[in-house]
Amino acid sequence: MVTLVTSDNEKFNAEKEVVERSVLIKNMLEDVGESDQPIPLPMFLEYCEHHRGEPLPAPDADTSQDDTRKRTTDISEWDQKFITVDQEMLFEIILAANYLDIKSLLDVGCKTVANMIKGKTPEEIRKLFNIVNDFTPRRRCAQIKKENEWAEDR
Amino acid sequence: MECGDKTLEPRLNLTSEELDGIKTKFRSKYGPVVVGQDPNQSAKFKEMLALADKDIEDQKSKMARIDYQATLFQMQQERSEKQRAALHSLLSPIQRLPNENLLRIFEYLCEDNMLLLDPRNLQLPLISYLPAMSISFVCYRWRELAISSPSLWASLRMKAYEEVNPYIERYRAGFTPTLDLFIERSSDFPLRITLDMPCNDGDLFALGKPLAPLVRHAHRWKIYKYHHLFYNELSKSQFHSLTELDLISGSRSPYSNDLDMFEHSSKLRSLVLSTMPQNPSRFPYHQLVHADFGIDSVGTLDEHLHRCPSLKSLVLRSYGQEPEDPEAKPESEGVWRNITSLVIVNESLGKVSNILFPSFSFPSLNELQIVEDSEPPYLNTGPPIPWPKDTFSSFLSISSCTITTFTILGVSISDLELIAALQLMPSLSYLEIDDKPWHVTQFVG
Repeated sequence: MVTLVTSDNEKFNAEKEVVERSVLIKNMLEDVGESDQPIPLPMFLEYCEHHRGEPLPAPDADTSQDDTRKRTTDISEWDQKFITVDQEMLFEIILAANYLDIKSLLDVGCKTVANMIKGKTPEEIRKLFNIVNDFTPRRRCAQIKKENEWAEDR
Repeated sequence: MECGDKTLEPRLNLTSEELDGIKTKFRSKYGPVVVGQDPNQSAKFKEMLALADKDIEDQKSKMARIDYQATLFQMQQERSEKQRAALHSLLSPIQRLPNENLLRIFEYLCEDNMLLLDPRNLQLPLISYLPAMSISFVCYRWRELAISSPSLWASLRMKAYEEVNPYIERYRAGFTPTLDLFIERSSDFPLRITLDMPCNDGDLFALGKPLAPLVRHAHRWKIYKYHHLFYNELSKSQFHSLTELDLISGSRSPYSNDLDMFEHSSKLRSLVLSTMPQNPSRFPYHQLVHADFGIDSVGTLDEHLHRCPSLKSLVLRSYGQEPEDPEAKPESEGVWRNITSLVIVNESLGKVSNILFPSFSFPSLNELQIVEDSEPPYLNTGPPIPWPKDTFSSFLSISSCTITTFTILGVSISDLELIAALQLMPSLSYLEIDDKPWHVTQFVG
């Protein structure tokens, strides 16, 4: 068993096999060795518990290794339910999954955001994520308008 | 914020009684004429008039100052709103993501940049079909990231509808520069190309010019999918980077010499075809490790497997309605040792299973998927296709393979038959069953 401590000092016990879905925790456990020292980490036990036993991606299986492979934005039903949260939480999950190096969870988060953006115009994307249009008028008027000409002309 | 000036005190400030007095003079028997004849009264009223003029002048000037201040306030408010939006944007959850995460999102998003050659009757604005372009117009940071990431511009799907020809000139002016932009921004990144064009020969000829920039970069195509008619404009191209070829033809399968253009594609490993050409060609079949094609008999499967001796992964679909001769046997011994993954798609009432199970064996097989993909039940009035328990068990027994992954979709199988089948696979670690009668499936190699 491994003890996880959240940032507000709450302690959770979890099986090593579950928490090792995080490559970061796995590496930390290997570095620390067999120790009773708690590891201070946020909790992603629910996700890791559900995906317990599934094969972990190979260490070199990151996107940079095969940039041309087909990426699908399909998400399993359970993962979809897990990731149905507000925007604030969704991006927290992505950041945490990135930090904890849980590739499958990072992918679920990124696919969810990609699906939110799909089929939207730039203005709709700005509204969706509260992003300000910060192009200088010169840049906007010249280059962007030229590139967008065809798309606007219909 | 305060205006600074107090309310103006009017120089002329008549009481209601004084105002009534003036009105009375208008209503008198002789009217205002009397006023004009009395010099004292006349002077008094002129003096009041001058005071009123000055009051109005002051009020006008005061209102101009207020208008100016209102404009200033409005500008100030607009500036504050912009600042607030900018601050909101800075605090927007998505802006907290580092570029590496943002790029990962963009890569999922830009899998399908669809350039429509004939954008009639679209549900969405044209730019919505081009995610790489759409994200590059959102904000400065996204644009910089998008433009500096060639992978986002490398996946292109060209789609045309029927009767392209009459509209080709209208859209070529915009289409070609956009295609050029994608090719330029994708830099040297391998291209994933899908041409989806159910056009006639005349339309295909008309498409030659708009697609010319793409054809010039054929050496960078890594994945090429072509649906519907075969695009012969590519016949002089060299596909040195090609690894996957998907030619699902709606009208006809490619002829043997159609495939000769891929002769020098030394990296080609995957092929998807409705049916294999009957005659061998210069196509590098021997390199393939994945293939997905239709078969109609033991003989065709045997022949195709001989052509592709390096196959490790195989998807077999059926075509033709003729029942397979139960006595038919392959010319060779029918043992294929390299194949580890097999998907059987029975599009014609269990036909592939009937061809494969009695006559072939795959000793290294560890992933097996069986899909019954026949006509939907309302068209298929006959009884459900029975589970081929005897041939299946003899197939596993002759193959002596160790199945670890087993999936059956849309297959009618009883609990007892399933238990019997599972007993033949003691090393099974993954099982998926979906017994819905009709399944639409897609397989990615």
